[in-house]
Amino acid sequence: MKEKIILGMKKSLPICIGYFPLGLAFGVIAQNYGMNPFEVGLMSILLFSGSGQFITVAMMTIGASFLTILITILLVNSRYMLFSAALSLHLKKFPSWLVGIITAGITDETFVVATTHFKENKPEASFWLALNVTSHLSWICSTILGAFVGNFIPNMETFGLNFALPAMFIALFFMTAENKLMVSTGIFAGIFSMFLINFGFTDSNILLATLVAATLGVVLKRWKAN
Amino acid sequence: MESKLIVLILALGAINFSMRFFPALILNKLDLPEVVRDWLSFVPVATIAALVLPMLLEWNGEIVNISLENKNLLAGIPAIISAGITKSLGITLATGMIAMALLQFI
Repeated sequence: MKEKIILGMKKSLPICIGYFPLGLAFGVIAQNYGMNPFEVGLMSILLFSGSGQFITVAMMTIGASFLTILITILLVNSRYMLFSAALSLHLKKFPSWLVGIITAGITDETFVVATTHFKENKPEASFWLALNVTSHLSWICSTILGAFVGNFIPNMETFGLNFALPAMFIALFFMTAENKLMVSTGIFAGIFSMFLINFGFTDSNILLATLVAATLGVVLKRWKAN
Repeated sequence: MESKLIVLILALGAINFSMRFFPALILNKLDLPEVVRDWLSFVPVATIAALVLPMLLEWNGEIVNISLENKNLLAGIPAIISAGITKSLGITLATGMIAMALLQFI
């Protein structure tokens, strides 16, 4: 069990490195908006979502209503529902309370790293929790740090830190694209997502592109099998 | 003002937790048909692609900028190559960030 925990922490290390500049940037922006480190920390504990948190602060800044923010986050983070559904296949033997704790740590990054690991290993709660909790802690700490240091941090671009998120997603794409069909499905999803953004679906593009592309993927798979 | 923010954070937290928890909790108890499992197997790659392509093509507020100005796209090339070869999160992250840092000097 101890080895599984250490393995989980090791696997979360690149996630932590990627989260650090993002979390720092979020803390700075939230502090500029007027949030204190406690509020930033609470938000990172409860939301644990880069996209969700940046959008929330951006919307508060322009004075969006409570309901508008809730609906937008529901759309922007709706991919977690799909991730959760996909993870149910690995959570079969776990009691509900454990499912609750594990799924609370779902992000794009922890989801892909966990599912990639479970392709060759049995789902282990200790590994999974270590991965999620370490990643979550790094997110919480870096956002709080950002809120404390505020504008004292140097220009992120000098260190390439602004590219941490795209670089992480590029790796996640290659980790999830196991075969040609998945690569094609992904490319279609990316292009369709661009198309939706172009037509103003900037909150729902990810969900819509995923729903359409995954359906296309299944249809192609069935069609090829026949 | 401040308590309003805390209420918002709690509400958003509840939404995010529900979206993360309930699908797994409910589907966990069912035996999903093969077509649904197949469909779910395409979700990760589709979501990640739908997230990353806009990030790479966007530059300076333009939705699509395919030119040498777009440093996200330029730094993306070595990152894609290293991800394709290594499939490693750490190595891709390092390659992409170093490429982006070097691009600041050009």
